[in-house]
Amino acid sequence: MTESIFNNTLVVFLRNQDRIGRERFPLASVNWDLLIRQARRANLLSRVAYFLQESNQLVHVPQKPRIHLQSALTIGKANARSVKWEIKQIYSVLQKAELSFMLLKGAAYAHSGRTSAKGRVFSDVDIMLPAAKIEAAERVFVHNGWIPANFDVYDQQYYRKWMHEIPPLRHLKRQTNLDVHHTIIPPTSNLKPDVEKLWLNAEKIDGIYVLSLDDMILHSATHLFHEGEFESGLRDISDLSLMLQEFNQTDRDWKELSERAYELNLGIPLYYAVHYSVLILHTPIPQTFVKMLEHDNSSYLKTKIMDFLFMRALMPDHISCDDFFTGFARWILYIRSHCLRMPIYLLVPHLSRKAWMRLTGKAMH
Amino acid sequence: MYRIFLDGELLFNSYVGQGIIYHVESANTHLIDAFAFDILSIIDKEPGIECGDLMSKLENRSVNEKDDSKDYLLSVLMALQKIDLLKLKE
Amino acid sequence: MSIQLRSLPREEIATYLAANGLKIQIGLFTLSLRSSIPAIVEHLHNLYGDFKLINDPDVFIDWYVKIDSPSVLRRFIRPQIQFSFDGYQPFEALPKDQACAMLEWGLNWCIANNSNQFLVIHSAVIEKNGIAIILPGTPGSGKSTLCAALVLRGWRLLSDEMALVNVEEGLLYPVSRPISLKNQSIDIIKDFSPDANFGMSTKDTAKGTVAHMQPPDSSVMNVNIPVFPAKVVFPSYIKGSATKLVPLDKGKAFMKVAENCFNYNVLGRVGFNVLTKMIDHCDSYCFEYQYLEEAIHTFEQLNND
Repeated sequence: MTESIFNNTLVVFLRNQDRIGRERFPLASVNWDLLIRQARRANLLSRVAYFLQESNQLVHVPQKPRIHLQSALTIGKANARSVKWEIKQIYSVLQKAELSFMLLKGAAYAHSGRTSAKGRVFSDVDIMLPAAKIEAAERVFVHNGWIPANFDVYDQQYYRKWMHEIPPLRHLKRQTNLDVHHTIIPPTSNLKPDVEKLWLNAEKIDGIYVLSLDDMILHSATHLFHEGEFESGLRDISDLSLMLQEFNQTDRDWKELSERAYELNLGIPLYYAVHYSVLILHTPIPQTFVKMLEHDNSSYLKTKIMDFLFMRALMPDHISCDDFFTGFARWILYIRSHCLRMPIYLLVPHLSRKAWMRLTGKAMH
Repeated sequence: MYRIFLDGELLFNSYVGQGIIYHVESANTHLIDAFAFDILSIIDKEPGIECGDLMSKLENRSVNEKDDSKDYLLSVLMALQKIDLLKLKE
Repeated sequence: MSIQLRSLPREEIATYLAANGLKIQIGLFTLSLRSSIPAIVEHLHNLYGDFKLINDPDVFIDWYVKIDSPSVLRRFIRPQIQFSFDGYQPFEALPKDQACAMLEWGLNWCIANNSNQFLVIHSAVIEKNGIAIILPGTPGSGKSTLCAALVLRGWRLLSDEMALVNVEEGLLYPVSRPISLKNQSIDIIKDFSPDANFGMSTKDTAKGTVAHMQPPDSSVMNVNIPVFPAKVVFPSYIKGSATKLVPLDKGKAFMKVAENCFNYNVLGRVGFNVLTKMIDHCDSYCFEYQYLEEAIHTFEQLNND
């Protein structure tokens, strides 16, 4: 029983994404009901649809599931279009103020044409500026139609004082969300990658900075394994798997990736990213490299414990992919991520307030 | 002297006295009057047209006396640029 | 051979709902519904009697939906219900007595958010003699009241909430379901047609008092017959108004319909093309009215044009 949730229909499909419809993975073998439901809950329905279309197999899917996939494909295309336009608007206002900026996460994948942009649904645009420029950027945005996304005084304080960020912004007319950062993980966290090093290796595309592929992989890994939001856990693993495959195609030495990780003090997130990408999606990464990372960053016992927790939390958030321990695993990892992000004296009041908001139904989903 | 271009791909649909323009890149849809619609149609056929040439082409089409003035034309061009449908290059 | 929901006794409906789900055909869509709430059993038995059940286990299910208490605690203390779409909850929980209204809102949400094979217009749609009329509905337009009255006078109900215009063909696809009415409209329609079958009224919802009227069996039977839209009428219920039907120019009609679409922007250029063709082929009007009988008369005339 436990085995089957880790070999659910969606992960099996993703493992076979480049041979859909061929002998080793015929379309007739796919349980469309489970695939669509799991993919929808995992935020991967558009990506599944993209893979089917790219392999020219979408037309061969039975009619009723095909309609759902085409609908998701339409949403994926609308998202790609909308994020591109949003990036253009952000560039336009910051450029007038002579402020350079870097795109992060999904928006960066889209702008740089990464495979991890495929079928991605973008809820926010994340950008980064040097710490000294954040206030100026905030003024530019507020002057050009952006407003704070929520007015809760506690949340505003949380962002400014403890997370050292400006609170999320929302463009009034376009109803789009913008997060402005000056580092890639909260400064109160125990990991402290040197942001200067990220800027030094950054690439500039059409006037906008993005992280190098190596740093994108590390950022994605850190975000997933240290920030505890698993609603898109499998989607993030899928992004990582696609980027690791892109790295593979550059024919560079894998050691360059681990060396960069150690340079930025992000060895542990890289180990998790590689380990789970291989375990869940069978990403083709040399075993020697995986073993080396495990040796440097983990122990046998720790691996076993984290596998128990992460394997469950990274499965689609769907009833067909839950076992008895799944809820517990997600909860433990949620607490862990907060411990990693905040010192304990901040953590308790923050968590208890979040719990109160949920209980009284006031939390935003 | 300005040369005038459409700012990205536009889709057109005309009705009597007005028209609908769809801007593909932003997915914005606009309802505009016949004069503005004619301007965009001409530029679509002749990208990079200069203001003076545009004006002479319009003289044949427009019925409103006001439409003949260059100032009015420029104000319409500015308005269209503001809603991302046109760009003016020197 | 499919059977109708009314052929099942209440106990059996309740059993399916509590176990693996009651599978129902709603227009082109297939639904699997789970619930342990007695009011839902009653709602289905009363208002969904003509709907076909799905016996074949191989039929692909579009929407897996559940309407139930969000937690054991909330079953007893200030009882609440929650609508969930295969594990996802689009709304906040509501008081338990709003279960039926929540189910209907939830089904509207499923269709509106996941059906990009259609241009989905927030509107009522009715049809008679092959003339299909779309009634886009801004709040206060009285579209639901008008829709209910017309349907009670022989017009086919395609939907009271959503016009589904297929993007490939331009055809309107029916999804006839119980008509949702609010506040005074409930009494107006009950007076207009005392035989009309209504479910329970739910008070104190975000929209006031809400009740649902059973769709005519002929509408449900003909749910597989699509039709091209012929007219677009923007209704406005205005007290003291003389009945007035005024042609609306196509440019304005296009923009007003686009504003009333759930997914016009998502569809991109496809949405533009579909809506262009629709507005090109349809006559569009603004319609002011106060009296239902006069309104119906106007629509009958429209039908004869």
